[in-house]
Amino acid sequence: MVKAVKKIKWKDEVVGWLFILPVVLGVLIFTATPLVYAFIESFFETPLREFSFTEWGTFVGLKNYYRNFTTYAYSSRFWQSLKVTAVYAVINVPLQLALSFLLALLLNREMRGMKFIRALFYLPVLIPPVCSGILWNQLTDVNYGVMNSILTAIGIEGWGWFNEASSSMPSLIFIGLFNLGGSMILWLAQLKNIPKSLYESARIDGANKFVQVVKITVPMCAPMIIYNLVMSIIATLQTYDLVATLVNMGGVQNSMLFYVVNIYQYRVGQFGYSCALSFILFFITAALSLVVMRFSKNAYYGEEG
Amino acid sequence: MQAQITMPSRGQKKRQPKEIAARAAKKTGVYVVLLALACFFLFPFFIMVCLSLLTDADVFQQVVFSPSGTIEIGNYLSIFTSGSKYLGYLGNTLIVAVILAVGVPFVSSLCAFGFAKLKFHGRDAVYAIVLATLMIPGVITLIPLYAIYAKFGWLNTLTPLWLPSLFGGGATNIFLMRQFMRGIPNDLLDAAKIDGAHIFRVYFTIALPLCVPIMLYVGYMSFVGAWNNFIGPMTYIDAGSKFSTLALGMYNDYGPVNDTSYANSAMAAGVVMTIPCVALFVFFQKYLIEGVAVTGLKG
Repeated sequence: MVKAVKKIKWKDEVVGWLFILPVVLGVLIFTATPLVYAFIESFFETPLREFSFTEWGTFVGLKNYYRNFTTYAYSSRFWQSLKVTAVYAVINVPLQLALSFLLALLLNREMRGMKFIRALFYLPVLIPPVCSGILWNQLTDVNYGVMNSILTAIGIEGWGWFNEASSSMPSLIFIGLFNLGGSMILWLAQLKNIPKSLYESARIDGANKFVQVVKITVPMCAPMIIYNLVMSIIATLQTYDLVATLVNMGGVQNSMLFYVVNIYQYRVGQFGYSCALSFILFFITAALSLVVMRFSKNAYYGEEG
Repeated sequence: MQAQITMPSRGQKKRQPKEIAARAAKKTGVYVVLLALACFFLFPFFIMVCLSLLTDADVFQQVVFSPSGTIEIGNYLSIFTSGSKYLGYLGNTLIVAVILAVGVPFVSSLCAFGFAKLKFHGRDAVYAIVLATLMIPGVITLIPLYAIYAKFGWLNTLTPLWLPSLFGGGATNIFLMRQFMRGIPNDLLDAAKIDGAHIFRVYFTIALPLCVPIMLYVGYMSFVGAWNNFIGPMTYIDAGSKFSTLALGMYNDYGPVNDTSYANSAMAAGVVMTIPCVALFVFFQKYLIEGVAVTGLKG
């Protein structure tokens, strides 16, 4: 009896693997192969060209990794791109989280037309990033962009938008505000999961709205906050579409030189180096995600017990 | 008569109007705030449509509405003239987006069924690896895949934009599908198996119909993902190729690389590219909220 149970049922095995075959092949061909290939090439100096088993370029050891710290031409761009990405992440991610949470609190009530209003707030998220980038690129043009004529009309003059290094980042963060609806929808879904009874007992105990939010809503949303934080950080580190369509080549004085924009600009001429940059990004992403998850372990696992 | 009825309840009545007034004031306040916010969130749409209706001369005046009151629809007409570049972009994008919208839900549900409802060796290890691929920044594989696609002869074709996605449909979609399928009672599947149905038949006739909501969600997300995909075409398709997609074509024609583009024609193209996204959202809204509920459950 025991033997019969332990015996592998070959038919089940084959059927099971057949079902997941597409993703197994997909991961092998389109993820593992390029990953290994990129890792090997990150130790070579080579332009981007057709894959070949025999030709890898010139072996340079760890040069592609340490030239970020030693050679000015590379290090200046590397650190600038890290700085731009980090500043954007540190300001934008918490700002978006907090504002979208407030929006969700505001919209999480029973009122006439609320569904319509929620959809309305979500609408800008539906604009394709490329359109959004081109829209703001056109609007903020110095010569015939309409944004500054609108600002002049309400008394603000001479905002540099993406034509000056100092105003580029604030402008990008401002543009991001139109996409708050995306995370707002996630918050709303989460808020619905909080049992109403918690608020009722709090009300009976005399807790006001603010205390209810701080003591009930925020802790109940903690797993979601962490999840959102990790996903937003990962997404922010990979910012590309919006910036590429918004400004040309990393913007004025490289003020919009995001990390991936930098990788992308090296890809054709210095493929090996761009692979090394990609792996550095990978390690940064992994390290950050681990730190956030470790830092908030209790909050994250609190629900599962 | 009226006085008689209202008099006894004067004590309550005195408080009630105040309460009602306070509540009404609060309600009005909320609506005012919501209205202001709605104006803010509608601004990109509003300005996009306004600019797309300007004449070339008006664009240089830095105005939102034409001072002469003319509404120029020529920007739209030139998009839909037969043989226009834009129609070519639209066709390419539609091919990719439709293939993915149909193929990805099917493929990812197949894999998810294997992960959720079948028992075999190595299942959990493979699933862990699939989920781990979510941690990999896209750019790491994006660029080396250029070299591999060059070997396959896929550069400057639409193939790299859809074929790889049909291998599993992406980790996120498999994850969503698996979460959803775990909710299907095993008894239901076992009953069919006992009746002698082949497991693929069980998947196709019992599991799949139950997964329609999540399949619609995944299909919608795949369509919009393909529609918006920019870095993919940008990497694998040259500027000016007849296989340009909308995102790539818009970038090359109206983006920051092209200083001579006009805001009005750029915005008309933008409006045309945005409309299908909005229309689909309105159409599938119910399922999207359901999908978001699943996504929001657990990371």
